[in-house]
Amino acid sequence: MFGFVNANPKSLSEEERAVYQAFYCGLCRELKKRGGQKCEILLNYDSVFLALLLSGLYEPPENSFSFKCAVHPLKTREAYENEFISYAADIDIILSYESLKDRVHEGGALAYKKLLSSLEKIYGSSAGKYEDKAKAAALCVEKTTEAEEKKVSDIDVLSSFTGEMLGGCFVRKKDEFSEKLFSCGFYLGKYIYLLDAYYDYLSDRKKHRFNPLLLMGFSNMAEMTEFTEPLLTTYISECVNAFEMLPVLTYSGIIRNILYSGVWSRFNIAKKRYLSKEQKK
Amino acid sequence: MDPYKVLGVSRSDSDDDIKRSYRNLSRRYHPDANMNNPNKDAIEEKFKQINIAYDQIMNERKGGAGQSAGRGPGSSYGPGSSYGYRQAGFSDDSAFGGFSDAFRRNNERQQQSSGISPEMQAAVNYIRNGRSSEAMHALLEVPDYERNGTWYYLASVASQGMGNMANAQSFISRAIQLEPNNPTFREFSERLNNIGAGGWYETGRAAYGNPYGSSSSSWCTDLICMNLMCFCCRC
Repeated sequence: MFGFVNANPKSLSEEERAVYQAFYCGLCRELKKRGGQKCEILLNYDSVFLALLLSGLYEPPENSFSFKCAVHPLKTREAYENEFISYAADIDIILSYESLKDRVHEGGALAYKKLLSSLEKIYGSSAGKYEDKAKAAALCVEKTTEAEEKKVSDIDVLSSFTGEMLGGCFVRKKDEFSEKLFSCGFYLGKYIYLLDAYYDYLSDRKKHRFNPLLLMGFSNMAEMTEFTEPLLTTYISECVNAFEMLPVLTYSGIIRNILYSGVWSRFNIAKKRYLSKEQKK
Repeated sequence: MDPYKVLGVSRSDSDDDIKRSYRNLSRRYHPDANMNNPNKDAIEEKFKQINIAYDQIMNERKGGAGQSAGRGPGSSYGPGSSYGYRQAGFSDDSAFGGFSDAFRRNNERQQQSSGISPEMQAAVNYIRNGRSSEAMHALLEVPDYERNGTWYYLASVASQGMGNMANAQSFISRAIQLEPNNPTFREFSERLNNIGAGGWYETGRAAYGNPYGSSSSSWCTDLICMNLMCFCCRC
């Protein structure tokens, strides 16, 4: 995953911030349980979001406890523990493993190779728990790579692979919420794929890597942004539509903060950088 | 049956009230919680009704708030179940901005001139049943030279149903190019764009503020540094 599904702390209340932090630390601890320190670096915002959404929907019994974190030995932190945080940790490992593998496959740095091989065992145990999710994640990378090799430029097609994978991950169990959860994840996945393409536009161009936006022949960054931003908006608003169909009350403030605001933070950074560069020219 | 009565709420109640009531009722009537209940079947029926009523209300409200007639993606998830929760839209013609009426108008005009091809008729039927990808398949059977404004319009509707927003956008532009005066095409284009710029989402986005990553406080500084290191050596 990419870590794009961020929260915007500025528009969170203090209480909401504390909850988000407790989910964040809770997920970090789950990752550590599975593979120690090296797993912690896999922690990303997308998984925190998944944990929040499923916990908000199913309202499982939640354990809250204080602990001292090795990274901050002096401060006492609060962390949550529930079955969905644990699920999100396994999904995090599965998806991180696949994206790392993909990066190594593309000829990534040696550090990646080392990390990847050190993760084999941990991946195996998470993938064993959720075989269908692991298969879907592998299939997504496979389909995306194949389409990219064929130079498919249709963003709807390309993004739907990530969409289907994430949609599948959002469905923890089959029940009356599955369709809506799938839809929510599907559009979020599409959003993430397109945002990733937008974010990496310049570096992909420099390194002659595949990027569907490069194939569209925009004459400048402003034009590229004008195309991307409305499309991102349609994807994410469909995701919000699906979310609003779910009877989520707990944590809904934080979830809306993420879906309306937080998801744009990386976009905004890139947009600012792109457009100011252009003005200087 | 009045869905509001089923959930025991009123039309003036907020979305959250409805969600709350739904949660309480569905917990009480959930089949898992009533395994050993002698009235198991009746309870299961009630559970179904609650779910139908809830979906109906939420869909209605969505349409009323000027939100998109968003449907789930057309992908199928799990055997036999067509995913893509059906919402205000294809299943109910009136909710779809008079889709059928508008189409009928179109249809008549078509039949006068060239007659509508069976593939396009099949596509309309699929769309009405919320089966967007089948509709698209049917449409693609139509040879290039027979693709008129209506074809592009239908292709746009089917694309949106599948979650293919970029394609939906370009199909509807082409439809309007071919028939600039067709009100149905324009309306659909506006609907597509309302999801985006200027719509309810943009309003929400503005209300929550536009964050820049650099100014957001970090949840765990050291982890972010580590992540950053990984990010930097990405090559």
